[in-house]
Amino acid sequence: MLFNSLVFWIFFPTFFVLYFLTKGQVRMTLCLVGSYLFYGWWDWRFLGLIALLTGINYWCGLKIAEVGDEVHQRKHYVTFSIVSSLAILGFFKYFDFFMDSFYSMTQTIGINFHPLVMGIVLPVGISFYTFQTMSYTIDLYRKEMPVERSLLKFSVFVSFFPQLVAGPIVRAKDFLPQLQSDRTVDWENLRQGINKVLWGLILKVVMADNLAITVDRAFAEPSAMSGLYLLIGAIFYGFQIYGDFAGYSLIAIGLAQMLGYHFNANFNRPYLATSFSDFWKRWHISLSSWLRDYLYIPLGGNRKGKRRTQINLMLTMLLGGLWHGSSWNFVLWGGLHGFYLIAQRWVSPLWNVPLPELLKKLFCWFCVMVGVFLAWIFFRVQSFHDAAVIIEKIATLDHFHPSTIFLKLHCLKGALILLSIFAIEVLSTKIDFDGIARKRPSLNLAYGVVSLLALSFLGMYGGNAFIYFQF
Amino acid sequence: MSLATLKKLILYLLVLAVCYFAADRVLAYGLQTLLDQANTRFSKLYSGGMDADIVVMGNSRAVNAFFAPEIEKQLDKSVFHLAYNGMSMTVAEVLFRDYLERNEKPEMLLLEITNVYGTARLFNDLKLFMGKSDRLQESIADYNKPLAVACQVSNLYRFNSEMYFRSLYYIDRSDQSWINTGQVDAEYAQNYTVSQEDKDTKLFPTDNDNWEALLRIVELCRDEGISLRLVATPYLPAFRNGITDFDTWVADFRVALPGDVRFYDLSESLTSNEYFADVLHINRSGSVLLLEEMIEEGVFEGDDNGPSSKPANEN
Repeated sequence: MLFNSLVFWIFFPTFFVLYFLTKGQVRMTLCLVGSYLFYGWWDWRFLGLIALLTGINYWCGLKIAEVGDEVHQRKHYVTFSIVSSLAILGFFKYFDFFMDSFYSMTQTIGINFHPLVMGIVLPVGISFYTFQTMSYTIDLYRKEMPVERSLLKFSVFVSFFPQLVAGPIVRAKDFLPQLQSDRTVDWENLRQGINKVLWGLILKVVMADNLAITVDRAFAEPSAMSGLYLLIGAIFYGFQIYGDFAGYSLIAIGLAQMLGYHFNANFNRPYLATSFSDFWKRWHISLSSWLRDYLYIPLGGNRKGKRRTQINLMLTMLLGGLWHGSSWNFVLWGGLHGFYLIAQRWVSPLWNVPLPELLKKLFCWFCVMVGVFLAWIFFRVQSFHDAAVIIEKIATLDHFHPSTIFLKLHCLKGALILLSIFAIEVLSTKIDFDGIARKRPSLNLAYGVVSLLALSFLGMYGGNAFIYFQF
Repeated sequence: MSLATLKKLILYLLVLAVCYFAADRVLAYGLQTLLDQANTRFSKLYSGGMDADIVVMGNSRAVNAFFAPEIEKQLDKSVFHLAYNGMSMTVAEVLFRDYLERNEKPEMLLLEITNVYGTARLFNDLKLFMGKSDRLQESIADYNKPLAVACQVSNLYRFNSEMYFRSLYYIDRSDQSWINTGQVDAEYAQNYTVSQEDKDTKLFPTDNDNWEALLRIVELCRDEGISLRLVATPYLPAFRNGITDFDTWVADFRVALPGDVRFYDLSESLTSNEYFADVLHINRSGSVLLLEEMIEEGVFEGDDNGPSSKPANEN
C-alpha cells in the first residue's frame, strides 16, 4: 500500500478505530496483522522473508541474553545475526548486481564466463528492516538495551507498518520500550500527527510528483536536451527526492504519533546545510546515524589519525551509497560524498577569509549545494555516459535559452511550488509554526483546510511510488 | 484515548470537513469564473455563440499542420481551431457534438486522421469542463471513474490540470494561432535516419473505439449537412519511411471508410526537413506549403465539385 493511495486511506482509519478499541496483547496482534496486511498488499510472498529475519534476530537476541557475560558466545551469536541478515539482504539485493559486475570484469580481461543471473525481485523496504533488526542484536551485544522476550512485540518492532518500507530506520532501543505498555494518545499527539501527515503529503504529492514530470523528461534522453533544461531537471530532482523521501518519513512519523509512538525526525531542512557534515546531520538522519554508530565508529571513527579517518569516511560513504541500491551509480554517489567530507576536513582549517559572517555562510551554502546537486545527477542517471552528457551540457551552457524548455507551464508550476515550500522551510527556522498552531486552534484548523485545498488543487495523483521504495 | 480526546478529534474532523468543502466550492466557483473569461478553444466552445465556416480537429499534428490565420487569409473563411495535443477520435467526437449544440453549424469539419491510434487521455484534462456538459461528464466517467468521483468530491480538483494554468495565460489573448516555429537541423534528421533503421516503427493499430467514433462523426456530418475532410498530414521523411505499417494502414483505411468520405493522404507531401519542427510536427512554413497543397488537391472545394470529390475508396 502506498501512503498516497486510496486503499491506504481506507486501511488506516479502520486500523485506527480498531487500535483504540483494543488493548494489550490484542492490540499488539492487531498491529502485527495490520502491518503484515500492509506489506502483503504489495506481495504476500515476501511476508515469509520478514518473518524469517524476525525469527533469526529474535532467537539471536534470546541467546545473547542467555549467555550473559561470555564475550566469546555473545560475539558468536551477534555475528550469526549480522551475517545471516546481510546474507539475506545480499542475496535479494546484490546477487545479480555482483554477478553482472563480475561478468563485465571477466569480459574485459578476455575470459568467457557466463554467471548465474537469477532476475531476483527486490522485496520492498528490505534494506530498512534488515538494518533495523541488526541494530537490535548489536545493541544487545553492546548491552545498551534489555532483551525482548515477547515474539509478538519483537515482530511488531520489525514490521510496524508506518515505517516498514521506507523508514525512518527505527532503533530497537528507541521503539521496543514504547511497545511495553498500551500507548495513550492525547489531543496534542493527534494534532501534531495529523499536521505532519498533511505536510508529508504536500511534500510528496504536491512538490515531488509535480517536479517529477520535468525530471523524468530531462533525464530520459539527456543528449536531446539543452543544458538549461538539464540544469532545471537536476535542481528539480534534488527537490523531488527530498519531497518524496522526507514526505514519506514525515507521514510515517505522523501516523505513528497518532497511534501514540514517537519516532525521531529523519530530515531537518537539509538544503539549508552550510557544510557537508552538516548536510549529513540533516539528510536521512536515521541512516546516517546508523552508519555512524554501527560502521564508522566501530571502524575507528576519527580516533586513529587523519589518514585512517579519511579511509573510514570514504568506506562508510561508499557502503552508504551501495545501501541505496545495486548499481555503481549509488556507489559513485556515496564516493562523491565521501570525497566531499574528506575535502571539507582539508579545506576547513585553511578557510579563514575576512568576509562578513553572512557572506561566508552564503558562500559555504552555495558550495555545499553545488556538490550535493552534482552528486544527485549520478544518483538519478541510467548510465555514467548520461551523467557525463548532463554535466558537460550544463558546464558549457549548451543551448541556454528559455525556448529549449519543454512543458514550460509544468516547469513554472514546479518552480513556484518548490520556491514556496523552500521559503516555508527557511521561515520555519525563525518562526515556530507548530507553537502558533498549538496556541491558536483556529490557525491550526486553517492550516488543515489550506493543506487539503493545496492537495486538491496542486497534487498529482497518478499512483507515483515513493523513490525510496526501491531501496 | 480518552473520551474527551475522541470527542475533540471527531469535532475537529467535522469542522475541518465543513470548512474544506465550503472553501472548495467557493474557490472552484472563482476559478470557474476566470475560466469562462479565457479565450482558449475549449472555453470558447463551451461559452457558445461561435460562427465559424471551418472547424479544425485532431491531435498535436493538426494543431501544427493547420495554421488558422493562414487558412482564413487564403480562403477568406472563418476558422475555429479545436484541435489539441493528444486529442483522440473518441475525444474529438464528444467535443464536436458539444460544439454543434452550442455554436453555429460550420460548413466544414477538417479532421487530421492520425489520431485514430491515440488514447482518450485528454479526457483527464477536460475534467475542467465537466460541469458544462453532461455528455463530457459521462465520457470522463466511462474513461476514468475514480477521476469523475474525485471531481464530484472536490470541485477544486477539476481545476488541477495543466490546461487550467494554460487557460489563465489566455485570459486576454487567443490561442487560435498556435504553431510550431522550430526547425529540425540536418544533424537531428540524420541521427533520426540512422536510428530509425533499427526501429521498425508500427504506429497504426487503429483501435475500435476510435474507429467507431470516426464513423459516428461521419454520420453526424452527413445528418447535419457538414462537409467532412479527412487528412493525413506530413511526417518527417526519415520518420515516415520508417513507419512500416503506414501504407498498408492507409490502403485498409480507404477501403473501410464509407464511400462518400473524402480522405487525403498528404503524409509525404513535404519532402524537405526545413518544414518540420520534429518528426511528428510540421512548422509554420511547412503549414503554409501544406495549405497550398491542400488547396491544389481541392480539399476545400464543395462536395460536388472537382476531381477531389471522388469518394475515399476511389481516391
